[in-house]
Amino acid sequence: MLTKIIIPKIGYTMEEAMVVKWLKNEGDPVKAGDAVLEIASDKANIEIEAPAGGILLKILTAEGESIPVLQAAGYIGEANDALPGEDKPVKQDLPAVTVEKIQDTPAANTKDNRANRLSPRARKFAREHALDEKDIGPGSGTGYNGLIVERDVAKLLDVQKTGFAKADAEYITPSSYKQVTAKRLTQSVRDIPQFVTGAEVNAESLLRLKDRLQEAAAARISMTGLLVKCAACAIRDHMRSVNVSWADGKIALHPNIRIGVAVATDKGLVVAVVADPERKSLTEIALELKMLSEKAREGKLPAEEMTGSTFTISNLGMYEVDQFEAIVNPPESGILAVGRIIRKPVALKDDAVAVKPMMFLNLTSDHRVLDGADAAKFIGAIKKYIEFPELML
Amino acid sequence: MRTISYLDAIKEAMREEMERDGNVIQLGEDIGLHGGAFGVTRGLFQQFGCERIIDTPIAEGTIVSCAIGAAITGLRPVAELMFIDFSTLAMDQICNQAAKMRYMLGGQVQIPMVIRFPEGSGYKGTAAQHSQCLEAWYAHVPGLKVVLPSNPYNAKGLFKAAVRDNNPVIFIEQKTLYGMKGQVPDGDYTVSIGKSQVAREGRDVTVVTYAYMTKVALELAEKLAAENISLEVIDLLTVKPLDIEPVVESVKKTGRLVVAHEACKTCGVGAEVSALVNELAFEYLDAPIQRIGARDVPIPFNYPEERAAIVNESEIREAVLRIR
Amino acid sequence: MDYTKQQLLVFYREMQRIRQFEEAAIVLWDANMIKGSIHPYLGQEAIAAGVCQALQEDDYIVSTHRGHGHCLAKGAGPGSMMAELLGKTTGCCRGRGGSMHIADVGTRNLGANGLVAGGLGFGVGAALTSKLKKLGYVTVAFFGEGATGEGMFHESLNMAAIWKLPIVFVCENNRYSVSTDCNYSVPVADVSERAKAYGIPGVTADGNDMHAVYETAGEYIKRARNGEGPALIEYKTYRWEGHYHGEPQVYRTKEEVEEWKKACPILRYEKVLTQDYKISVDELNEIKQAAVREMEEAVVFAKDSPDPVPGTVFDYVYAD
Repeated sequence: MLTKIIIPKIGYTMEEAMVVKWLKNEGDPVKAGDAVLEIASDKANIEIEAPAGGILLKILTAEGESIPVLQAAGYIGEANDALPGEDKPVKQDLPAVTVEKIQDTPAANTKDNRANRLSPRARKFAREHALDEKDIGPGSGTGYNGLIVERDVAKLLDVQKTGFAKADAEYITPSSYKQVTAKRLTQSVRDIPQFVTGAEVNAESLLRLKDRLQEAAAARISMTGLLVKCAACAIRDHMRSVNVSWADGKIALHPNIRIGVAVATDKGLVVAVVADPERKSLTEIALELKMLSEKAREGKLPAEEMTGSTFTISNLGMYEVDQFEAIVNPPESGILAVGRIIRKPVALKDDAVAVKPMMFLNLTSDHRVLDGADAAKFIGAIKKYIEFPELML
Repeated sequence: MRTISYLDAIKEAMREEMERDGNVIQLGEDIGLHGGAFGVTRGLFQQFGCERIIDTPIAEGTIVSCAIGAAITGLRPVAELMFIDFSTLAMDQICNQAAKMRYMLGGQVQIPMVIRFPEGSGYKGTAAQHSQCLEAWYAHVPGLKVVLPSNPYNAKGLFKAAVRDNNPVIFIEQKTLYGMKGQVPDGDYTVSIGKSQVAREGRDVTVVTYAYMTKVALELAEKLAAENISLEVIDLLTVKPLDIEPVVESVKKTGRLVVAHEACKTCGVGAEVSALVNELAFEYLDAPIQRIGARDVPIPFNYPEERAAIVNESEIREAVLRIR
Repeated sequence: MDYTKQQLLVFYREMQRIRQFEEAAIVLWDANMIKGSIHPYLGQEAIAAGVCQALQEDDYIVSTHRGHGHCLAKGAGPGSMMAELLGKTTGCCRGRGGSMHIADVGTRNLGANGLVAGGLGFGVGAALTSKLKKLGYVTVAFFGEGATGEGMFHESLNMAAIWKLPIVFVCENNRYSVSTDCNYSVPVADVSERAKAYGIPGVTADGNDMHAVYETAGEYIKRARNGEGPALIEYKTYRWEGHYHGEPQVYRTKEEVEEWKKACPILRYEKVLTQDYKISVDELNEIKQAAVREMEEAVVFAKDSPDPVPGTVFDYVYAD
């Protein structure tokens, strides 16, 4: 019967012992209780007794070597006992334990909505850099539970201060129009998915109409006025897809068409609104526009003539702008950007080439209400009325 | 300078202080020939004899009380209690007498004594009554000083400082650290009581800790450095009086604080640190302060539950990542 | 035992000083000038006076919550004691301790203690220092019979006995621990019987007999000083006041108190001095009046002393 000589654990801190001296040799007979080896623990030297009688068959741990506690240092048995295979004593590692998520003391990680809140440090940073907390958008936080932290605010600051050296610039306070516009357009770009559809139109017919009207009219007939009517008629044909607004997950269908015209004043860009232009004559529209523009430039435009437009036209054709893309004016569904008339050779129906007055239109649309097809159809309609203005009368 | 264990560092400090000042005596159970339950005083009896290394009966209250009387009358005793868990038997003497006598007597006496005991679990199945960490109890009592060395270097230095301090100093050793090896200078030096130490400089998150968790935090910091997260580790060393200044300076830099200790989280020293940082550095915080401490359970005997009850490195790591 | 006349008068004087101090303190307490509680020593004067007379200047005592008597008898000034009761800066503990923690370390009184048996261990510690450093002084630890139920009592006697320390444990058995009769709380008829458990001598004496107190104390103090180890002395006595002054003493009858007042230690000693030692009543009266005057002056001193300034509240938490 094979018996192991086990190294005992003496004292709870003991992990291993060193074999100092074997008091018997391999092959020696031993009686139960005989001292067979001497070990050294961290506390003292101890003699280990044979747990059973027999022959010291095998010494596993030599003098001077260390052995972990509760392992066998040798075997005692009968001469013909088979020894087990080489099992070198291994240090028992503490068993791996998956520590489960322990439910911690209450209110440890409450998921309260921190997504819109600034940390004290972020707030301090904003204050020190003259940033308005209201300009720090919700959802931009990368901190704990969505908290807006200092680095998020710093990033905002980085975005803002590209380029100029702070020390050299002169600072002026913009007009309230400009401030409102700045806020509004920023919000537009941030919140509204916008796309552009462009078309090049032949303005020949429209120009001829303009000239004829001018002969009869007292006031100046502007291109913009004609374009207002063209756009209005096109919108009339596509009321349910174009004369709309995105309203918090719903689509608002506006019953009346009100077209805003961007007027440049020395205070900034002002939008003057023409109501129901599809019902008004071209001359009426022209007169109305003139009056509105004057008022706008004098800063005397009343609120109802500034707000409530469902669509805007921005015409930079009087400048050296071939084409441009405007930004949607929320809550409108789109804005038409008109470039200058360029006389250029074009191919006609029979592939003959003629020089025609061409004009580039870009329609920027709110993709939440207008998809590509809607925009295409709409700009197509505008093109139709520009190229065949008699359809408007 | 050589590498010795935390236990040997304390023993060396004891030996040097007893050689330096004949008034330093030690009282405790089995500290003489037996050398103490953990072997801290082993060998000192042979050198200093039974009048300076004094074995006592099992009488925690009187071990401390007798030490108080001896301290008042001119000796500088070091009283050993075998486990911090047994200090409950001496609570009256520690908290009502030693802590308060100088004050109540209007300064007529001073009580230059050290009360020392080991705390902590070390995952060795020592179970509920031999595994606690109770430094918060003593930190709460005015009149005591409480120190917890975290490595062999500060173990030797703090012990010497404790012996030389003219007040009752609770010197708490960590069972788990007795075997820890570290560099310790030869000869005389002290580590100041009441001063926190920046154990590792960093940029991203401040980790405040002490005792065994300092070792854990430093190891974690090394691992996180490889993941490009830079921890600043502050070792309090003394929890009473608490030196909060380096912590505040660190939070001003990083904006993020994790406090970790092996003791139970509820009402632990971490709560005090957390409250102080809130008061002194609120506007510098970029995230809520995270506290890591053991679960509110008596320490279980079996290994898996013991592991679950006590603080693991992974919890500190998670806290760091959570607020980064 | 032979006494000089001077010694006899000193005994009497010490008892009267304690008596007058306590009476004066009670007046102050009744006038609402003392905060907290006081625990008058009335009826037990012979013990403090007798034991302290058997001590030398460098001997230590540890006292109890009923500690005014010990404090005075060991040599503290009544002025600084009264000031302490009033919480003044001139008090012996700078107003920090009050009645229950009254102490005068200069006269080697390590103080009254709010915890029953709380000071016994210090006594053991002080005795340890004396032995280790061969300083030759003895420590007397006072306590009541109620303290013998505390673990500290057992641990202290045990430790003092195994180390043969120069300490004498003096139990003032005044019959009651607050409301608990010692016949209920102590399982042996005499507390001194407990000494046997520690292998030290235990003796019971009449605590209201001045000479018996002095001689018993003297014997065991000398023995301790000679290195023969600790002893336990039990003095049987009785307290006139409740546990604290003003206590509604529902646990005992007025008749019982009156009986014991007849056995007042001062009255008994007056009889001894006039009858056995032929000392005149006038001389005794003079001593009494001197004590009255001394305590009146102490009260005036205390009342005139300044109150502590709140800004000093952090002083003496730690030593430098």
